[in-house]
Amino acid sequence: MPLEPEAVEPVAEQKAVYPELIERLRKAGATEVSSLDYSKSGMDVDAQVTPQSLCAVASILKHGHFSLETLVGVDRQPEFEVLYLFKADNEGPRVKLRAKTDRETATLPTLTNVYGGADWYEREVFDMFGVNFIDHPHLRPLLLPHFTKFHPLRKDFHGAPIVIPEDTVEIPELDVQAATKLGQSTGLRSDFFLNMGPQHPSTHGVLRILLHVEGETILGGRCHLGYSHRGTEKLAEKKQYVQFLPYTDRMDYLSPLNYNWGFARLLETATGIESTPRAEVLRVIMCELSRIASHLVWLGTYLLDLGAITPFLYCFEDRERILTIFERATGQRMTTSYIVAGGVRNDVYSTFSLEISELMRDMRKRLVEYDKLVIGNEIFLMRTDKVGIISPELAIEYGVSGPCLRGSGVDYDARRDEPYCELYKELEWKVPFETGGDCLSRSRVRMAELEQSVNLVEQALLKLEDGPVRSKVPKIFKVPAGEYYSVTEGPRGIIGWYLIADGSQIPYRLKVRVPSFANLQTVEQLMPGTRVADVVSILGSLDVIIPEIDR
Amino acid sequence: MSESLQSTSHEEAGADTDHIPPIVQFLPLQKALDLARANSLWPLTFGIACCAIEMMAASASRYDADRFGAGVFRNSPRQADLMIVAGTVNLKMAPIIKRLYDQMPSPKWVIALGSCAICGGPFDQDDNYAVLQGVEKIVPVDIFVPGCPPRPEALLHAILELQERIKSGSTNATRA
Amino acid sequence: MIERGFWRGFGSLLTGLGVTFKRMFGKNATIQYPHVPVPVSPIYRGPVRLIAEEVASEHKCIGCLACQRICPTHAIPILTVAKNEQNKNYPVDFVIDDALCCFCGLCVDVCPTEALEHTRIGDMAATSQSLLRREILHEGAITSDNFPTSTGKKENKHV
Ligand code: SF4
Ligand code: SF4
Ligand code: SF4
Repeated sequence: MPLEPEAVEPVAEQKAVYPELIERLRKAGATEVSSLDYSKSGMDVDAQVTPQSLCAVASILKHGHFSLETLVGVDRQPEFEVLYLFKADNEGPRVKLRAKTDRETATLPTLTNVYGGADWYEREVFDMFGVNFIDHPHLRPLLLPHFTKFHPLRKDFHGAPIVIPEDTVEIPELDVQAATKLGQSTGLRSDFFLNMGPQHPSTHGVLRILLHVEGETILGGRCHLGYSHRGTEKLAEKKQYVQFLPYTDRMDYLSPLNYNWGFARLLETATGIESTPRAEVLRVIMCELSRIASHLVWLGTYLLDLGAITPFLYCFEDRERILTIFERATGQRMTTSYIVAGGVRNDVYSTFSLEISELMRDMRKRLVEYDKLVIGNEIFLMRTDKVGIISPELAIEYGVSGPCLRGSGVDYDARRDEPYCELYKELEWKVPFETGGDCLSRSRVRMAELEQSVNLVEQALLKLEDGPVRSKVPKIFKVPAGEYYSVTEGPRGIIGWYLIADGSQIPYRLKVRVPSFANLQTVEQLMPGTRVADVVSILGSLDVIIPEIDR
Repeated sequence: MSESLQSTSHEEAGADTDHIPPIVQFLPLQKALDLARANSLWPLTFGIACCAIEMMAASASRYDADRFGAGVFRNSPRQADLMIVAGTVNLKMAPIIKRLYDQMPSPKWVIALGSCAICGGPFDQDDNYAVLQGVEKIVPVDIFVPGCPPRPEALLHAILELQERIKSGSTNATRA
Repeated sequence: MIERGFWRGFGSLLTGLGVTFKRMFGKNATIQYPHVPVPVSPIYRGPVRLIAEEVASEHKCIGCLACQRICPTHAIPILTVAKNEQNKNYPVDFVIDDALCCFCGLCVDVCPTEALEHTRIGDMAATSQSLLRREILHEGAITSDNFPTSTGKKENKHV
């Protein structure tokens, strides 16, 4: 394996410790603030907070335009710990706050007053660990059915019998506060509730939204999740690192390769294994193809939701060509399990480059066609222009990422700003972004991304040189004890993996930060005041994958 | 005409999920009905997880389930007679599937697409607390399609197989 | 204002029709399955089997149980091993449950003697769940047509 010539770089590139920030966190009441090595743990600053100082410390971060990326609950036995992961907007640090609570009381103050986006995350922690968040406006199970009495991610929980009680269909439960707020300002009043989903053609999976409507106008809405919750995070605590690979495919099945890469990168960060140059190029090619395939499904289904049927057929036709390449290169169409720690599982076939460059040539023609067909279409414009505007502030507060964030005028892309692969620095491409924040902007960003991905694939193909595709990986794969975080940019946004390892072959806790979760959470804020038909348009433009959210 | 007549009379009797054959059976008519039903399956649009994408692919241009008369995906269970359970069924979803199944007019058939729908697949493991061990626990399944996810042609094969069964009159489902 | 919108809408309608019209002369996208088999990749990860070309008992499995241990979904429910005269392990019962398998290929990768391989069967459908448990020790070479679950597929091919 050839050694990287610029081996000195890490020292020069070592990120600054953030003395100013650390000082301010300390002043606000954080104890034990320390800086971490980004290249080893994926985090820059680590701070312990007491329940009393949590909100004050978080406010400091909020003023610094940090976005809340996720909450990680951990059962440290005996006490519980909740980790709050924050990210500064561009090249700034990643900050981790740790709050502890003991097993008996299990209470923490809520962060929803500071970060609206903490809402669902806290409900998830409440679900999984039974930690109560005082003053949370709506603390009820998010992913689990309302009749369950257990907290699955506690370490003393060992499975439960699968029994379905008799009357399980939940009674519509109203979020009266949110719903009536707008009602008061507009003078509209209604007690009519509309149930959208879980079996609904345009929720893209099994999402249920309870809409509070007055005529066609929506006064408020509540999402109900968990209809495809499968307990992947609990499973991860039972599976060896190698065995967990197939499960990474099945979270976001439209871009399994990006998830494979995220997980591989996590393990590489944790163990220091490096992949080979050829494997890196293959990863970029495959992941960009996967992004194209994913965006094509988005395009097809979005237009299907908006009433156009033929583009769906065209998009799937193009996607089939990409899937054929995946099948020949990885062995499966969708659940690829291809990218592993240390490289990729097998080398590609001989006509790989040829086929892809041909496909990319056709793809360029197709993109022009789609652009004409879609973005220029009057009906499409009317359905999307100025609908569902996510302001940059809202986006940052809720931790929105991916095309939804870039559609709101925040220019952030992990591929460029947190380069997890050298190749992204070398290739020539740009991060498209729009400032409108509405459905149209998000669609435009995705269309532009399709083009950029084609660019990336074409250039990466030229860099494909012979060599091994997998470096030496120990037969018994263990991860040294510690905590690691790694992010990659998927088609929907930031995919983050948080791992707490105890030195064995099995993770102690593995948390996945999924982009759709944060993106979908904004929908409750976007809905009030719009029409029922706009909800379909907004949901489609967010491009959410429900099993990814539910995990 | 007579097809709708027969099934409505049964619905009214509330015999929706029971296996009660009509009192008077008319063999040639029955055969004709079976043939008609087999060649115009109307599946319910109902994707839960990964397998649903392959189901969509099966109805898109490359595989085109319409060739077998099974491409008219209906959004309402009242208009459908084939339920393709494509994905992981969990505790929260199970009652809804049962309800959707009950809402479908008989005769109706179920295809369990993918490991998850067959038996919980990759998720019915050690500390499972959420995933149902197969959709068969709540609705009668006619065809099982292994795969994770099954290829679109596996679904087409399942549809062919189901058509064959309907024509020969040997499905699990309620017969009108 | 309305009129402009109307004309633009009319324009986009024509554009759409134009694109569709062009497609009519393009290449045919549909594969006429089941009359034409769908091409399956040479490395496709289908149902797992023991490599044994003619004589089913001539396989390379040494009964090390590595495959059973690595399988993330416990899709190898039965793998019993006995010792022969030379004190070597050999399998006496080897069952793979295709209903549980997620076709990840970890078992094939881990096998020290390369005794396992993936078949390239892409279209399988069974009428009962029990048909999906395959006793792979004695099944020999399986194909799409004699896969235990493909009842009635041959007839179907000529619908
Ligand atoms: S069988 Fe596999 S592909 Fe299908 S829903 Fe389950 S995990 Fe996803
Ligand atoms: S392919 Fe994967 S799931 Fe199937 S038997 Fe092998 S290891 Fe188990
Ligand atoms: S890993 Fe290979 S040799 Fe070992 S038991 Fe499995 S099939 Fe046999």
